[in-house]
Amino acid sequence: MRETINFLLAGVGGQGTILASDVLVNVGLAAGYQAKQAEVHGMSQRGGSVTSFVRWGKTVHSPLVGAGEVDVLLSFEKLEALRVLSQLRTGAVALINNQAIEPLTVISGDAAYPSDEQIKTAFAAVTPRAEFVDGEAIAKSLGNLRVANVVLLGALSALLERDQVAGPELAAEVWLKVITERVPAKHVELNRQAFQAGREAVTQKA
Amino acid sequence: MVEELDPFLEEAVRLMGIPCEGKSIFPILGELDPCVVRESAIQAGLLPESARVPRPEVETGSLPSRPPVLCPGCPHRPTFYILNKLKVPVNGDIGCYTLGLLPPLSAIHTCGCMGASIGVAHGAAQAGSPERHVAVIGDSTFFHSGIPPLINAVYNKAPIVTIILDNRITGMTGHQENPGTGHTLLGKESVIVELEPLVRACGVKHVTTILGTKVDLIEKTLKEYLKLDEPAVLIVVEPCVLLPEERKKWVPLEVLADKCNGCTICFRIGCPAILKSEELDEKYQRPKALIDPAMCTGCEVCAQVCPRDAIPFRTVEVE
Repeated sequence: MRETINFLLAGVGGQGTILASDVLVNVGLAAGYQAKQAEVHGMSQRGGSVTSFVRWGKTVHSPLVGAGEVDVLLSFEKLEALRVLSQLRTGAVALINNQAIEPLTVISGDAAYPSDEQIKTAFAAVTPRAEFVDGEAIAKSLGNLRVANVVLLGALSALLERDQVAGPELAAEVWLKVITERVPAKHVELNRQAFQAGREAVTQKA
Repeated sequence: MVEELDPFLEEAVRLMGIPCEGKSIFPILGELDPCVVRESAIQAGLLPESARVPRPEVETGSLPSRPPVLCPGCPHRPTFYILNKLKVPVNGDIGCYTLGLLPPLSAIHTCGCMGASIGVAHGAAQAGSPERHVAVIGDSTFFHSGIPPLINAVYNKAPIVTIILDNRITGMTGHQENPGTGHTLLGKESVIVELEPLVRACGVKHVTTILGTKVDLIEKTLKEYLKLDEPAVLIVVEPCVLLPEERKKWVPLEVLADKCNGCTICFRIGCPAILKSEELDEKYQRPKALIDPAMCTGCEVCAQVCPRDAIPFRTVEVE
């Protein structure tokens, strides 16, 4: 078990970033870590940039993570991933949802959305461990766009195993138990499939 | 112990005769995060230089900002769309509607504190501003601190136009009740303080209440009021679209792609539910508009501003 693991979650208001951090903090607790969470910018309702910290560890005193100390990034949107890139530790694990949500500044023509190449090059300069997963497409193939976040959590669980950020305390069952406890009974199976599909998206790439 | 902002504890501890250092080491401004605390501690010699955490060298260039926006279906949107169109100086206040200052609406020019909208507009008029100033204030903020400055403006005969954006709730902080809603904060039934009689009682002669969704009517009334030489108040009423009762009325609209020519007018109302389509208009090679059905509430503001009737109104009225 590592001393501490610092997560940064980034997304756009309405994407479920805060809900995902809630799941993540509970996964940490279920795995036997101390865990703390802090939502940094409270603009979740109105479509602004949203970030949230989650820290797991043997002992966690504060929920805040300093710039350059993020071990794991989970970003639900590409531009938001690029925006927080400078907060990552060199060699950090990064999981980026391959979704672009154009901000109004782009739609109104006042700014340009960064290209995929620009995003990938910038990440490659910081870490070789950045993975892009299309959460929406996988969720769509399962018939429900709303499980995209669970797809990403599944992918994250596989990444943490692959890059040996977490040990056996973080078995897939631990994640699934926390996730399925939070969804209505009729959606348990769908969420289980989404989680599994997310894991496969990472393991099949390897 | 490290204290954020003012040296409140630090001074109290010193007054007790106990040696204490604080603001000589840690900044008095801004939020303390681990980096700020660590860097301050290193500079004060409390931590070794080796404690510094290296940050990766990152070159991302300037990225498009993503400020929060008025929600899809927000009843404040038409007012700001019109204010932007009329190019008048607008003095804002504190609430969701402060977001009217951001592009593309860009229709708030000053913002101070609760109640400042009316006071600043009045001040501009007193100072001899050649332009007719507008004050924009929400219903709950008006109850909280808009009444004294309105009376002051009336008393001094300042020809300002005050717009009270009445969304029937306290929006920004999460739907708390206020004197206009008929319930106390504990949910008990109470009196409803009505805005229009209240404004008249303050001595305002020109007062009208109109529905927040009526784009043309807001424009027409505002233009009339801006010509007056006396204070006027426009009450724009429409419940917050996120209220549980309002959510039941959501019906997403659609863009008729064959009628849309990508003129961009609907992009200028700043609605996050209106996206750029990948389909280009043949003649002008501009992206057509597309409505995200998962976000659209069917407020019909885009339908009202579309010059080509490419966004049909709802076919059914949901009540």
